[in-house]
Amino acid sequence: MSSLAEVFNLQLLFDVLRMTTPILLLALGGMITDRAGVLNIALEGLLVFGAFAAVVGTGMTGNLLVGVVAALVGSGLLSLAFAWFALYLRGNIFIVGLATNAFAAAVTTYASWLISGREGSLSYPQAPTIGPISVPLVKDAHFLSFLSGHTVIDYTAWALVLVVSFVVFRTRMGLRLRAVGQEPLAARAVGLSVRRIRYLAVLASGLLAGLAGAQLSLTLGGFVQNMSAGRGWIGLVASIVGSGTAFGSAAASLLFGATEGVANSLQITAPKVPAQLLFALPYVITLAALVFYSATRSRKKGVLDT
Amino acid sequence: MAPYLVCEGLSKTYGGTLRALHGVSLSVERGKVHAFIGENGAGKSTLAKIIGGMVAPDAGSMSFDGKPYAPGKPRDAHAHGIGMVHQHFTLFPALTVAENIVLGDEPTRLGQVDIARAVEEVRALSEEYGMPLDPRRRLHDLSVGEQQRVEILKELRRDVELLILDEPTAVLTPQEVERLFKGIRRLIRENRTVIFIAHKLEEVLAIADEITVMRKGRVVGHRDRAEATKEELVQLMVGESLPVHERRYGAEPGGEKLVTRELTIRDERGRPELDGITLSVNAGEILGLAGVEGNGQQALEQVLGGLITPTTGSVVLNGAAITRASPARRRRLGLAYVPADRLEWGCAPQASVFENAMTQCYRRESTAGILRRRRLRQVVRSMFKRFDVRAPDLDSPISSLSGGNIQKLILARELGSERSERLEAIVISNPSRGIDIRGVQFVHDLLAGYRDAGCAILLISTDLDEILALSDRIGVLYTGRLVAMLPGQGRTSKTELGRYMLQGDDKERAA
Repeated sequence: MSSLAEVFNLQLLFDVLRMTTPILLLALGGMITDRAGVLNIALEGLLVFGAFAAVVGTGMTGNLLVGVVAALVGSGLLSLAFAWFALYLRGNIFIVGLATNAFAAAVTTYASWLISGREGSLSYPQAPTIGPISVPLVKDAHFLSFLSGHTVIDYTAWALVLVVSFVVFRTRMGLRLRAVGQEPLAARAVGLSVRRIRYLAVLASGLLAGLAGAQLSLTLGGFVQNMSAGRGWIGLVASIVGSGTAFGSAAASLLFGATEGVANSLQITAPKVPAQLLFALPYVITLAALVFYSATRSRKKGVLDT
Repeated sequence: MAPYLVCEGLSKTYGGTLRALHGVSLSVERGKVHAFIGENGAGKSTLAKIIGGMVAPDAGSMSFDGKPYAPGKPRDAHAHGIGMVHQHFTLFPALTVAENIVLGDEPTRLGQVDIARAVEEVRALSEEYGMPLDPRRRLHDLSVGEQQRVEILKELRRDVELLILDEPTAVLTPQEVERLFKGIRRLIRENRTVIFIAHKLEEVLAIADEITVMRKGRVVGHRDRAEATKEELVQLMVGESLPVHERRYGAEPGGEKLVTRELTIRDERGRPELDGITLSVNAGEILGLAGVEGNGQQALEQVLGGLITPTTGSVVLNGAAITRASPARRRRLGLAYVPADRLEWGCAPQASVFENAMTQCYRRESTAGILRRRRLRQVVRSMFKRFDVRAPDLDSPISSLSGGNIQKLILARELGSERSERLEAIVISNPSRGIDIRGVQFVHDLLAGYRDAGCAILLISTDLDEILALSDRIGVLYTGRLVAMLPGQGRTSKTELGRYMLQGDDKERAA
């Protein structure tokens, strides 16, 4: 039987941070679009598209930077398409979002097959993977050593928490973004272009999702069908549970990342627990968080209260 | 003096059928208060929106300050120095006063919004125009009167030369109206121009220099303040002279019918929306509840109607506790509820006139769950006849009716079904909002009739004239509390009521 110490060690903390990164990036994107009044159903598809584009970009050139840029461009373009359908053509955002997700899943699977001839995966043997960066000092400080050895995207994600928080709450753009999300009609009366601001918000979430995708596939060194494993949805939940702030989203992402890390770790240390159950853990926690969140929010009055 | 703003032949048709304006021509002089008056649907707001750049006319032209003026959007109007304060404020509740005012034209420093400078600018403006406001407070903590000041300061910060105020007094207490008028006079002294849209004649006569009367999308008269009389203006607005109704108040009331004890409702943040409301409405009495909008009216009407349950406290009808009873059960017990927000809570806007009208009587008129449509249509038609609902087509959506007809339909449905003989109590909120003078008289006569028949009526209204015209007793709601219970039947003055409605402001000023 596993002891608690075996489960909770520095390796686990390291894994938790690693697992948190994509969720965190997605949650930041979800928070930005949510602040603009757009429910970003398409995060999952944007993530998949980014992961795929990163692998293709890196594989064809052998250059990681090209892969990351490809992920940003790919997810960015897809997010603009999503925004165009939802905001300009006024499609139902749920339908358009689900269609975007289905499109991304299908088109990446098909393209993988076209390129590699194998079904469901794509990798380039010579392609590099994103390597760890060791942080001087920190890596030797025993208790903090889990903070060292992450990828450049991991560190960027945490820096982006600060950047996003600053932009949304301190700048002119951020003020307008929040205004548009809160009272779109009033914002229009002030002379703001609601649609333009929402486009930009969706684009920002696309770029963040692209970066998340790059993190997923470039650390693994290939693209696998379903490698996103619902992280787009978990990221969306994290942004909601984070109640519209960058730091709240980061905290929620950390919770979900931790669940994933613990689930992985338990697979090794507690082999008797069915793996399927452990795999389900992150989703169960996500659902629980969502239920808890709604319960504490709306336990006010009767059913008709909106 | 040369005309400042000139409109010529403006026409506007909405959605292909609803003719809002037919060839309206008028001119507004600089440095004057020009009032547009008329009943609901007369076209005043449409005209104002065309001038403000919110709506483009189908035909006609305008000139402003000697130059052609054809705004495509509000921003174009602003560029010409024309600004508008809407009836429904276009503000952001979660932002601060300063953020609301500078939004769209924010001072920045090193990429950040310079909040300190925004606060300073707003403070200076509010002092200059005698409109006290704390720039750092969040909008949702402000009274409606204060929110209106935010709107006006927002326009003044953009140096508007012509300010359009769309029904600015509808939500204000008499004292706040006075303060608003002071602000308007100050603008006039600076040679700015104000277009003032209203339907209360006393206010128009108190502030306007010139008056344009509209009816059914046309200008039907233009008067200087000096030559205008109230009687003539009413006649122009309505198109005929109205019989003067004498006010009948109730006789000696009977026993308690509808009672609330210590009703409290808290919002998510734990702040009370209703705070220990204890009141009783007697048989054969109209209890009027006055108060500035947003002081707990909505929570109270919904708790009585059964849409929400209170955090603590109870509601009793005829001795039976109904605190947690469903709306349907309340109705069976003889409680009718007519909500203030007709389109949100009073009807299903997309459904047809017929479907909306039958929602109280369809159970009786069906067999084994199948509607007896022919019989139902008869019931609805006779209901409409009694309540003077004018609906040319039972199968068109209810939203195609005018506000007054929708209100009459709801009244007919809630009060006029055959079992209404057993009506014990009526909870009715802002029944005459947005309906014309004749509609208001109809509603008031109806309520007086039910009162005389022994019904207990709780009339929640933000319209002081309505409260004063009907109430046998008058309560005042302020920040969710019942702060006063005063005698009605003409024994309490408007100013006195206004003082109670403003309680908090008095305290603030004293502090």
